[in-house]
Amino acid sequence: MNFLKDRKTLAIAAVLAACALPLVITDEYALRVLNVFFIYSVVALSINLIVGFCGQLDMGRAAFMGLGAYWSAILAVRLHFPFFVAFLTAGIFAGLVGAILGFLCRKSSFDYLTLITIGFNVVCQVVFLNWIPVTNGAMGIPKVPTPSLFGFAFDTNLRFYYLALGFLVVCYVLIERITKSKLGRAFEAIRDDSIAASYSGINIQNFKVLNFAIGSVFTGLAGALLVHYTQYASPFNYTLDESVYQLQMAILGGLGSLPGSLLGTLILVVAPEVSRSFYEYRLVFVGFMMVIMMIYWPNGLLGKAGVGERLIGIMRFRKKEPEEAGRWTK
Amino acid sequence: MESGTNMFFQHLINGLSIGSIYALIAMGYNMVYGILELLNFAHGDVYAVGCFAALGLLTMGVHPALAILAGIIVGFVINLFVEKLAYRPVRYSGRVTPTITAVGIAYIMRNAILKIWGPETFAFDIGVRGSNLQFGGIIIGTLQIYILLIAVTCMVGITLYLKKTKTGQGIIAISQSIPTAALMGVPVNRTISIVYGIGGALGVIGGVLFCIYYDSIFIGIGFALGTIKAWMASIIGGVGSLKGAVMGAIMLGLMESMVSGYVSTLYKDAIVWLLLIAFVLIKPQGLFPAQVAEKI
Amino acid sequence: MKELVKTEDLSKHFGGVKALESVEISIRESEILGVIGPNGAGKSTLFNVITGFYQPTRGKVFYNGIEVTGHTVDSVVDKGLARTFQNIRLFDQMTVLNNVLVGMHLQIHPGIMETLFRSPMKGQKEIQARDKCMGLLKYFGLEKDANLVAGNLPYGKKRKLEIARALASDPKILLLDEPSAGMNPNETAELMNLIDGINRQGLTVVVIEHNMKLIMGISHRIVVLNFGKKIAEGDPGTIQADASVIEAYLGKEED
Repeated sequence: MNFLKDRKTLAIAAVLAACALPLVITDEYALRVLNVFFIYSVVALSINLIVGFCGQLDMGRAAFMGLGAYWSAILAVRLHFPFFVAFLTAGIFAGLVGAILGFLCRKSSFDYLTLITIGFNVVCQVVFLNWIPVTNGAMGIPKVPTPSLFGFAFDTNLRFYYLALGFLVVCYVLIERITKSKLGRAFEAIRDDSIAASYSGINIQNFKVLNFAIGSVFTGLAGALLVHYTQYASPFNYTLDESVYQLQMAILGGLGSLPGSLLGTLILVVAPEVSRSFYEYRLVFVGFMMVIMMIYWPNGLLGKAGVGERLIGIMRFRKKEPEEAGRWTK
Repeated sequence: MESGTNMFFQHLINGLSIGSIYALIAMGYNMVYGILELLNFAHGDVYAVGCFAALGLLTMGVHPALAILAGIIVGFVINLFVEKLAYRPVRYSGRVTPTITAVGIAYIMRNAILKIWGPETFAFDIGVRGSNLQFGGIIIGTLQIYILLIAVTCMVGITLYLKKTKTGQGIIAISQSIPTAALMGVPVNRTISIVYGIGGALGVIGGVLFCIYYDSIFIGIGFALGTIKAWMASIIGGVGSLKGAVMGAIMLGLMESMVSGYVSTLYKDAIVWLLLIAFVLIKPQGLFPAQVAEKI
Repeated sequence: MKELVKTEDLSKHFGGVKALESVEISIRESEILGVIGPNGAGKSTLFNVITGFYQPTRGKVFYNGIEVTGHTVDSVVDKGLARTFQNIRLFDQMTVLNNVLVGMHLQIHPGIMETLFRSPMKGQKEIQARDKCMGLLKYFGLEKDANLVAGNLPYGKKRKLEIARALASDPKILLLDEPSAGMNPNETAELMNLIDGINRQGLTVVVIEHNMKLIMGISHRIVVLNFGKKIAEGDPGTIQADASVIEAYLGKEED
């Protein structure tokens, strides 16, 4: 089973499988669910980067999806910018706002930051709903064009599937690179002990702002891509409840585990589609999930000593050993 | 201009009234925060259960005083349960984990209420109509006076409780250092439970006063009008001190009243939040923070 | 001998409490300086103020003649200083190796391009850094634990890891805050050898300690604090005989 241990091979296999999946699954509805899953996965990854890797508890992420969505919608619909310009600049815009908000809160304590992100979510909601000349208020912005690149239109579920998959793969690789780099280590150091981190030469405030900004770029891009898929920017999609639900996607999979974010998103995107009662009671389910998981499996499904590892331990597929120490010991 | 000053004082009175209600809610919140430094996300939603319990009894014809008392007890007891079952196991598990647990409890409580009562607004009728007193051009409701009195009584009561009773002293000890308090014989678990309970009870009192004031009750009195206001109050007043909580709450009430009266009711929430965000920049610890030097 | 660090009239008050009052010390190149004093004397506070964690109420701190009073911790550390803590501060959820790598934070300079477009594990500077960190771990006997989560290590190894992380930044001065706390005599002897060893390689070491055997055994010079003030300074022999030091620890003799 050696190839299973090589994560890179596993990842490539997973991507290839995902590419081949539409050959098997041709149902339009199923494709739609998968497309939404791909996009929300990026949101969960961005939450993981901010909350999981840097310990900044942001409970208003949906606001940044909204910022990216509205920016892209306005540029595409009102100003007739081509998709990729609207889309990419939406990410930059969300990142800039994230940088500003992060900068304003750079000296805030853990709790104040959380409160501010909640407040920011509320403020954005109010703006989306009431700033009619720009956002069209409750009516939202309809007729957002489907994505198109160099004349090729991603106007079917199948075509969009590959765009969304590509988007997820690129974002995943970028975020993974960040987490494994000096930058990622600095983020984690800040999370684990910010005082010790500063004594290692890390400027806490700068890195927190950077973390918030980078995460927000990805959230904004996801929001923008989604709005070009649903073709409608609505002010009712970026509520606090949405933020909490998205947060749970990252928590369920395991904060600090990137594959976990995918798994958590998959479960929370598919479950309400599959089960009507899950949809109706989804916030209660999320509530119970949060309480039970925090007590028994705070690291989520795929985090360290998470549910997944415990199950695998029971089934004795893997022995718990320091795996890669060998690469570095001579 | 006479009517201008009247308007101002009217807003002031209204602001003080709503601020007093916020103060009760913020006090309950801050008592918990003071000992565990955790954002009790579920503060509002838990005491909302108490308020709705009172509503339920009221609609069944129970005497208002009993109904409200029952509601207060419900708020107290639910918090005891929640603390023991959900919070205690994760008390020392860092910052993110206990906060998320509280979020979970909040959503469970909120949806329990929604399932039983629904999202509509109900009348909260205790069968007594307040009357109005007039001073010059300013109207003060007797209800507003009662609210102020009740809030002050509670504040004084809590302060005395903390200073004079053994449990109260235990609470103060825990708020400074849990290990030290434990070594000194303070029953930590029991004391923390009681603090949560009192927090819930105060919240129910504040929530019920709110419902009586506006003669209505709906699901939002928990999170939106309770937890969030408590947070806003602690942003202004600082965390960790009851004085800060109360001062912050009153100032919040005044701020809301002024913004509502002079600027806009539509954007009131957004403006207040923006003011608070600005506040965080200038005075990150609030106006009356508890003085603690970090030791490493 | 060159003065690496100098303080002038250094004072730190917390409300009415004078944690430090008018302290003047100097840290000389290549020495091992011991800092002792009863509990609450202000030893850790001294470290905290010198490194910028606390801002002094009064007074100044100089590094190599340059004033650093008021600088932030990460800026002071950049000048060549590293420290360990009384209550160990590790990055509990990170691996042992990554803990040490964070210590090298200021030494690694990958470009943004390298991070985004090349696998970070393959970058030249990253590989060199990892090799150096593994070398450090080997020195402390921790190389087999490289991929364990730091929070799971036994106490003794945690202390070693903290020192390894501090050394990873190639500091000129190493501040150790009660490094032998919780150690048995064997471990303490090992620690003394370690401190002596790294000092011989040119590193200046300042040690806060309660263990008199350790301090007297390795220090070139000792500074004694009591109630926030410096009450004595000199080599171990002088300090041991100093009446005010004896009084500070044992209390005044009743007449």
